[in-house]
Amino acid sequence: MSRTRQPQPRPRATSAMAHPSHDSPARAPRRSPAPPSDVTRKHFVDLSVVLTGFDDAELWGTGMVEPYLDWLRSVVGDQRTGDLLSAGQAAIDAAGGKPAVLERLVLMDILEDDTLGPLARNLVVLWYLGQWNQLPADWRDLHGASAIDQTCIISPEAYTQGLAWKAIHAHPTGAKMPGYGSWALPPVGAEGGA
Amino acid sequence: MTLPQGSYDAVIIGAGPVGVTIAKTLTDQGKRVLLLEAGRASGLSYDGWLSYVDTYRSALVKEPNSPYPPNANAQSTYGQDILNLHKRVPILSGYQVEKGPLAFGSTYLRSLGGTSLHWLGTCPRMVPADFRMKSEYGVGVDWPLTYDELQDYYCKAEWMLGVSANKEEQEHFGIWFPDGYDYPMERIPPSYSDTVYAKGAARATVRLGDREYGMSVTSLAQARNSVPRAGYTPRGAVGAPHVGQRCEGNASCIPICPVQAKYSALRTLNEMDANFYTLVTQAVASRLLIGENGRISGVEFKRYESEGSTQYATYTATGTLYILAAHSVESAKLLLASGAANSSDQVGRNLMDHPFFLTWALNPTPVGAFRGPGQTSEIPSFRDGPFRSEFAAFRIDLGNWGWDIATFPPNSNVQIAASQNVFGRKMRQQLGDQIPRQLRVGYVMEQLPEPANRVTIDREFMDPIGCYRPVIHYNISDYTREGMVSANKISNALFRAMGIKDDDIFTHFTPDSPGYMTYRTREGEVVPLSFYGSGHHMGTHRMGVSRTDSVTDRHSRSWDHENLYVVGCGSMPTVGSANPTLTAVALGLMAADDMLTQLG
Repeated sequence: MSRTRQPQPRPRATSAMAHPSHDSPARAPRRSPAPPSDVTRKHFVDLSVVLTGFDDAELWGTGMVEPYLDWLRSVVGDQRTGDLLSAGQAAIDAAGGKPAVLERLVLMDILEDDTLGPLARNLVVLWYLGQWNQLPADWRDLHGASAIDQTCIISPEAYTQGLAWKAIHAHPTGAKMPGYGSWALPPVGAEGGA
Repeated sequence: MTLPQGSYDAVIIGAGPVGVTIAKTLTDQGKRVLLLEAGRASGLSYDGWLSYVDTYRSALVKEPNSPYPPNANAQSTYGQDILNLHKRVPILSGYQVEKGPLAFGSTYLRSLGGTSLHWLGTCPRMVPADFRMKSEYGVGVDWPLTYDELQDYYCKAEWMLGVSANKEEQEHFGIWFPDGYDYPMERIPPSYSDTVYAKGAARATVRLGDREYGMSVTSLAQARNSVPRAGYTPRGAVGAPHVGQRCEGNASCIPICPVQAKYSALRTLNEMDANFYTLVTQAVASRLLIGENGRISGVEFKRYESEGSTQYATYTATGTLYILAAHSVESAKLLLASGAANSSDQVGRNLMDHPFFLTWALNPTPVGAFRGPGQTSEIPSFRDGPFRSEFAAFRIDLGNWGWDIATFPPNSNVQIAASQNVFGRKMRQQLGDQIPRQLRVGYVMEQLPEPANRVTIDREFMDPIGCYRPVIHYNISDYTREGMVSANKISNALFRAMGIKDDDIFTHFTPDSPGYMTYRTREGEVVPLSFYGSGHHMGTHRMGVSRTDSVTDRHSRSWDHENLYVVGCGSMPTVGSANPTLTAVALGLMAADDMLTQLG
C-alpha cells in the first residue's frame, strides 16, 4: 500500500522457513566425538572470532564453544571440520594481524568456497541464533548426508546464548530478563541511553 | 486417575479463564464442581512450566502454541498450519479445517489453563457504544445488556485477573469507574519506545472522510504483575509463589511468561478450595445428553490414556447445572455435535476475530526493540466515533518487539545476511544499527457478526478419538477492509509526525504476506492488504434478547435448556476493538450469579 520496496530481499527459503515445525526435528542422540584437542579448540575459537565479530572472551563466555564444536564434528566429521579450521588458520597467518585483510581472505577462501562456504555460513547462523541449518542438498550429495543434519535450534542454551541478542543490545526473549521497569529506560544509542 | 464422584452441583467443561472463574465463584459458595479439561495438566507444577519454557527456547518458530507439546487427542492448531496459506483453501493440514475464502489466522490452546497460557494479557474494557452498535450506528446488533449493567462484573474481573492500570488513563469514550474503585495494581511502566510514539502522536493529524482526527498515546491495561495497590496481593507462579511477583521483562508474554507474572487460569485454579471440586484432565467432552423437558441430563466424555495413544474410555458425568466453557470454537462444535441449544440456528455462526493489521518503520534513533512486555501503551483514539456507521473501529497497539511477526527479526536478518556472506563485525554492526530502531504498530480491527462466518462440523473430519474437528468458513467484509485503509493512513500520518522519512516506512503487502487480500476502495483504487489473527475467537454462541436470533440470554443461559450455560468469548454479539478475555470473564461472573440463584 504505502511502499512496495523491502528493506532486504525476502528470506532465502531455507527448509526451516518453508517447513517450520512445532516439534523441532528429531535431535537424534549425537555420537559423542572424542574430546577435541586444545589446538582444535583454539582454532575453532580463532575462526569463530572472525565469523562473528565477537572476541574470544565473549565467545568463551557463552559456554557454547565446546557444544558448537562438538555439534560441527558430529554432523560433518573430524576431517571436514579440520579442513575448515585449517583454512581459517591459513587466512589468519596470511593476514598478518590486519583485520580487513583477514576478512577479505576469509570471504574469498572460505565463504566463497563450495565445500567450506556452507559450513562457515552455518557457523555464523549457529553463533548468532543457536540454529543449525540443514546443509544444502548439493553439498550433501557430494560430501555425505548425516542423519543429524537437520534444521533445528540445537539446545535451549544455544537459543539463549545467541549473539544476535547481544548485537541488538537486548536479551533473548524468554531468558536473561532485565527486570521490572527496565524497558522504560533509554536504550543504547538513544539520547540519555548507555 | 481421578474420575467424577457422584453427581455435582455444576459440571464445567473447560478449565480456561472463564471456566475456572465460574468454578472459583461456585466453590467459594460451597457448591460442588466437576471440571472436565480436554488437555494435559503439565502446567500445574513449576517444573512442568519450566519444561514448557525449554520447549519454547528450542522451538524453531516461536509461535503462540510453540511451548506446549502437541497432543493428538486434544489437538490445537499451530501457526504454521494456517499462516500464509490463504491461497490454498481448503486447508486440511492443521487441526482446524479452513474452508475459506480466507484462512482464520488464529489459534487457541487445549491444555489446562486454556489459551490464557499463551495470551498477551491485554485487558481493555469495551466502550459503552460497543454494546449498542445497531442503535448507535445501524450495523451489527445490540447486546442484551449495557456497559453500566456490566460495571460491577468488570470491576470483579479486573481483580480476579490481576490487572495493572491507572483508571484515569482508561476513561475513553464513556468508559467510567465507580467512585472509590481502582485497578488492583498500578499501571505497567510505559516503554521508552512509547514515549517516542507519544511525541509524534501529539503532533499527528489525519483526515478521514470529511473529518480531521488527532491521536494520543495512553498506557494499556494488562493482567501482568506490577506494584500492588492497597488490598491486593500479587500472585506469583503456581508451585513457586515467590517467582513472578513483578513482570521481569522477559519479552516473551506470547507464547509464555517464564515467571508467570502474567495471569493464567492456573492461578485461579490453584486458589480453589480442593474440598469442593474434582478436576479430571485428558477428558474430552463428546456429547451433551438431553433429557426430559429439554434439560441437560449428562455429559459424555472420552478420557484418553496419554497423548501418544488413541486408547480411551467413555464416561458420563452428571450434575444439576452444565456449563460449557470449552472455547468459542470447541463449545460451538460440542453443541452442534449434540444437537443442542440451536433452535435459533445461531450456534457456530457470527464467528469473529480482531483481524490484526500491521504497519512498520525504522525510527531515526534507537527505541530499544525487544525490551519489556509485548505492548505497554496504545492509541485509543479510534475505538469509537461516527465513522463506525461506515467502517470498523480499532485500537492501536504500539509494539515493543521490533518488527516481530511482520518480518521475524532477528532471525530473518541473520539468515538473509549470512546467505549473502555477511559475517563478523559487519554482521554485528548491521544488526545493531537496524533492529533497535524497528517500530511496529498493530491495529486491532473490529469485525461485524456475519452468519456465513462460522464453525461447522462434518463427519469427514474427525480426530483420532472420534471427536469432530472444527470446520471454519471465514471472510473479512468491506466494513473491516475499509477500516484497514484508514488505519494505514493513520499509520503514515503518525510515522511522519515522528520524523520518519517515507523511505523508512516499510509497510508493504504482497501475495506472500500472511492473510493477503485486496480491496477496492470507495475511490475505486484496488489496494493490497494483509492481516494476522489476534487469537480472539468470538461470537459463536451469542447472547441476545430473543430466542429467535441468539443462543443464550444475557446470563449466558441457553434459551433451549434451562440448566445449560454457554460462556466465553463466543457469548459476545459484537466485538468492538477490545481484547475479549476481560469481557468474557465479566460475563462469566454475571452468569455465575445466575447459577447461584438457580442452585439456591
